[in-house]
Amino acid sequence: MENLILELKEQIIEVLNLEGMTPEDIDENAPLFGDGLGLDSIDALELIVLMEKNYGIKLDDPNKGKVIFTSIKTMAEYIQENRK
Amino acid sequence: MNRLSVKNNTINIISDAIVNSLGFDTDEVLSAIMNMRSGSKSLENFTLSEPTAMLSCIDKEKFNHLIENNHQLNDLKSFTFFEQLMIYVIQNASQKIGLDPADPETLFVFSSTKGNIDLLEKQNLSPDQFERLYIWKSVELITQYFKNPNQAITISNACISGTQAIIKGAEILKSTPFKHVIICGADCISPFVVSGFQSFKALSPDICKPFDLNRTGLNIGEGAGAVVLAKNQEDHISIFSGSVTNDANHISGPSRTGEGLYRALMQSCEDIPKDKISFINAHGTATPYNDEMEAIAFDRFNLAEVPVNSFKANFGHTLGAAGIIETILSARSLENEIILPSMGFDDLGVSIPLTIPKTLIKDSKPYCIKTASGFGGCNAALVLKKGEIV
Amino acid sequence: MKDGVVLFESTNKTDANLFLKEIYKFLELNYLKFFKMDHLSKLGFLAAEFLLKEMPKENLEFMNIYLACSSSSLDSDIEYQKTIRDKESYFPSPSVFVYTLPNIVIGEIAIRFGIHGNNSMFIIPPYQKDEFLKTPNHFFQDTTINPQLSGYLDYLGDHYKAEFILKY
Repeated sequence: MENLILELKEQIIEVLNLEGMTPEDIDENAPLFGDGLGLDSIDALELIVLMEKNYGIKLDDPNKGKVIFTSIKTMAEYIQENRK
Repeated sequence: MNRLSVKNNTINIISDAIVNSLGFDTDEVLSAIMNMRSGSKSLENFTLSEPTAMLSCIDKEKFNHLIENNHQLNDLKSFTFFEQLMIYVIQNASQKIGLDPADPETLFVFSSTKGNIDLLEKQNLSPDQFERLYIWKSVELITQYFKNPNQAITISNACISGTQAIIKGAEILKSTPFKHVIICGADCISPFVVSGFQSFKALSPDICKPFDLNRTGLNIGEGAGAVVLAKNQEDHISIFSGSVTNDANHISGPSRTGEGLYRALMQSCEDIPKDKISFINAHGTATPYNDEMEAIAFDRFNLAEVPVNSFKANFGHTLGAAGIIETILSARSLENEIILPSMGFDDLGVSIPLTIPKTLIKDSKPYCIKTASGFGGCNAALVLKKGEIV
Repeated sequence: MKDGVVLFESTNKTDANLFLKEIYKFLELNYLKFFKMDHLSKLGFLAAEFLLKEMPKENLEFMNIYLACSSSSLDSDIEYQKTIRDKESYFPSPSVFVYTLPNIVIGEIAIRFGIHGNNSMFIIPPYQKDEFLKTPNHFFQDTTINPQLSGYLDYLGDHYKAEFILKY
């Protein structure tokens, strides 16, 4: 799980162009949207692409995405349960 | 800055032409909308993103037949489909009024978001082919085809391009010696565009439902439209005013308070008596956010009681052509003293109690408003006016 | 260059991305959205930043923005096409797709400075650049008294250029 969380942080930094951030800067329990990382709707869509590209998980319902993308931790948990 | 016509100097639409999934001239398209028809069909495997896509495509076989058998058109084989569409509607609109597009007192204004973008699918493009990816190159070829000596103007401002091109054309006629402006817009369906909107989860698998409670997204369409503008032709519909603004909020999502559109309405509709506005033809793409934003903007400017319709269920969102095609249909509505039904609407799905016509309505009020919004936060409002009977 | 005076020169002449990042640092910007932008938007954003950073807010609200380019969003179009080209690696990218329109750079500038005025992106052949810059509301004088930001910019592969003018 630790490895997955680190991996996710690195991927998110790259895919979302979070300049100057390192995995140490991201708290896996902190909310991804709203305050904190300040991600927006386009970032949410890119996270959906990331899930499919890197973990083979297809998310068709954007509303489901809201729950899964609450934090890096919730993302990691979902991936562990559903990865192909 | 936005009142385009003053007492003795009206700018009028004297001719028009449309090609889209509903037909090959304005009358055909208008009739289809009056009869609540849609040109949208579900296509399988258009992209790898979804098994089906609801698209509003032009009947290419029929179009090829039309251009091959039109003796007033030279051989168009060297032109791409996108360019052929533009040439066809310009030819159609000009010929109806005996205007020679080569006339040096005629200026072209073009509108497109993606031009020949489908060329990118090809491997190993030659330099000549690569050059056709530049919209200015298509415009140059089309202008040369018509032997028009003036440098054309090309606007590419997302989905407001067509509406803005008409406002620009009217501004030009008002302030220069040009006698006619021909405004032409087109965009074609491609896997590039469809897959992009699919990545935004913005498309509906069914015929879209503008302003409806159960709307789930837009349908992509393709089309071309052309209008000819001239001065002081008072028995024709006039371009009364127009305004373009920016939300300054987000590059893809509309402002939640409808800021940009509200400002555009404020600037273009300042002195217009609200009880003289027949209808608003909205951008109405049937995405959850767009329609709600427009409703809020209309309400902020106290226009909530004016009937609102959208044509996106009839022939999809035609991007760079949308503003032109939809303005033509709005002008024809004013002329015929009707409000066209808003296909796809059943139950109100926005927070403002708008009036959305489900059937054709007779109405003789003189003004109507065309609104448009696009990626990049741009917004446009255009006001048309029917002349008073003297 | 501003008013003919060189404001910033890079020792790195080959990597466009690095060059743009150097300007970002030179301007001491703290605007993380910059790193999500495509090349054309970064280019236009930085050019606007040079001219508008000291502008009072009241001059910005109704400012008009008239820009022209030749390659449209082709640089990003090509990037986006890569994400859909291969059946085996088909992952259309929404963050790239949003920049496959040439006017998004105007949106980025408008968001940064709170600009709500008239705005347009014109597509012109490269040889019309100078003529455009002389009367930017595409060859016709803007009769309003609003401040105006106009410019020609272009970005494709290794070739890029931006010339902006501010009138107020």
